Amino acid sequence: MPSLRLSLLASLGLCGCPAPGCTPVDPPLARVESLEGDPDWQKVQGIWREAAAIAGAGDYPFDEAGQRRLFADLEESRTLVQGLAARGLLTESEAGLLQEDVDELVGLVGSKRPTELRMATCYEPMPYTPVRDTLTRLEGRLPLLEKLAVDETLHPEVVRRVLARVEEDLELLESEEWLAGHPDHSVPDLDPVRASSQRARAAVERIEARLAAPGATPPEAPATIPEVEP
Amino acid sequence: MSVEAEPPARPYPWPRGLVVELTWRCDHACGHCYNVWKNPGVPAPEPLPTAALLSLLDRVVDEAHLSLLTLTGGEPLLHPGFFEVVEHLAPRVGLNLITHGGHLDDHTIARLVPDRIRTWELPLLAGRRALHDALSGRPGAFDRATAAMAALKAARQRVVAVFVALRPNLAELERVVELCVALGVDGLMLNRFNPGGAGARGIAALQADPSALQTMLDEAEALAARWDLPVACSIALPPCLLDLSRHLHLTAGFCALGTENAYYTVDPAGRLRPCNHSPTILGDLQTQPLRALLDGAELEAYVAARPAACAGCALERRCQGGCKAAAEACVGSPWEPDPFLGSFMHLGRLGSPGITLSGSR
Repeated sequence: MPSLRLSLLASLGLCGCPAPGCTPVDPPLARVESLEGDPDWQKVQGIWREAAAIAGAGDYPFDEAGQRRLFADLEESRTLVQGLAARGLLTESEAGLLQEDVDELVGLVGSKRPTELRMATCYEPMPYTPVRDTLTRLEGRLPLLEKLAVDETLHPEVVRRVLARVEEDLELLESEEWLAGHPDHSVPDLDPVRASSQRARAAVERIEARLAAPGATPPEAPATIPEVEP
Repeated sequence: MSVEAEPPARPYPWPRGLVVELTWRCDHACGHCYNVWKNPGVPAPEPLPTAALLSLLDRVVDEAHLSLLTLTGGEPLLHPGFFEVVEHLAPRVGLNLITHGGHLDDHTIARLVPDRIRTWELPLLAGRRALHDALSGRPGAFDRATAAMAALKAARQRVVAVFVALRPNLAELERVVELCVALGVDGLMLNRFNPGGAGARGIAALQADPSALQTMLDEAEALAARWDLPVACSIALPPCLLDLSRHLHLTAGFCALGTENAYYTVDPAGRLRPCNHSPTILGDLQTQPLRALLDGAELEAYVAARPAACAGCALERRCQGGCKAAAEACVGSPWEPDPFLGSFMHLGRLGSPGITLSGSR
């Protein structure tokens, strides 16, 4: 991490500038000592030390929660650096250099994969997430399905097949018995669920009407390849 | 957070799974197909009889305590013993199936559900019927693939769509994602074009430049977040050409060869290769145990291979300079840059080749 080290040194006024015509200036000792003893600066250094260790580590140096926390910490370090500059403990140019180092650390940390994605290779592509929010899925899928049915991107038989599955979800959401039997702490108020179900039902009926319209269905359903042609 | 040692190191660990190419036969004609027997001078392998193949796989599964086999081809459903293979293996080991979906009617699916196949991977190359069919080299491919996806989801199967990013279809990504959401598929594999086989003859027409790919990846990040759709970039994306550092919704990685995530490949004749993109034969599993091939000099040399231009880069050991199998298939050596890196390394966003990430500022 050469550039990071340079920036850290520069921020303490300990790095000479090699540019021609540039006269190194010794920083006021008091400012350096104040910075070194400042809790915010110490916190910045701690965050960066951790990020630098992660950046130089192996393929899966953290889990997803750890990755999120480290990104959040790095963002916090930006704010802390700005605060140090505002308090006169860093010059603006020093703070600018340090912000560049944060950019670099964010990039390096972002190139690492969390342990949950250890199996996310070509043939085990992603973590399995079997539990989905039925309501969210319906609200996302139905407008798309309607669009793809209207512009005939999808074959009508495919739309019918998808609708059958959507219907299963929708019937659950329309069932007061099912809702009562499956309390969801993330949905304390069921009225929005009922309203959403009504909108979804209306969308399903529009799609079904379109499929039933004369000429909506091509003469042949998509058939599998009839014979082997290697 | 735990810090782990950097792989790979000998002795190479057992892989979690293997890729099994059941047959070289296919009734699609994708211009981007990387099947190695479509490389010049690489003959299509003579397939083992089904019984011999199953005997070989039984032995390897036991030897390496494998948890996963990925069945592919060619088109695996064209293997005459396909159902026998699945019936035999499914109780013993997890199975993934890579298929174009053209042979998955309700009757066929009924023989394979509820618990024979863990993950189904089907192509979705465009959001428009005509383009998908053209890229597949087969009229009707789009309708058959989407019908198969809908039928599999109706049967509560785990389905992953595969989008291969080619110059002609880059603009299709949003429509493909919308299709995925509408069909209810569980995730999208977003692969850059990785030439080899038939694809090696179409690089100029099919290979997108880094700028166009970066734009597509940025779009993919936004779409993945918007639709909460898992998106995995399975083909290595050289970090000197593409920036995924802020793509928190995309997963990506580097060549897994020599690690437990490697996907060593068994060809139809029972020979082991480093992966399904590489034409290198590591040995014959009919006559040699898997451990002997993992410990062999051929694999060690292959793991060590990386382009000379990448020497000294901070990510040299992890990135390994893109896809060495594509380099081998198209340029003739895994020590050369693969066609993507070789074509565009002069544009490197971090500077000239060999400049390290950390020293690039």
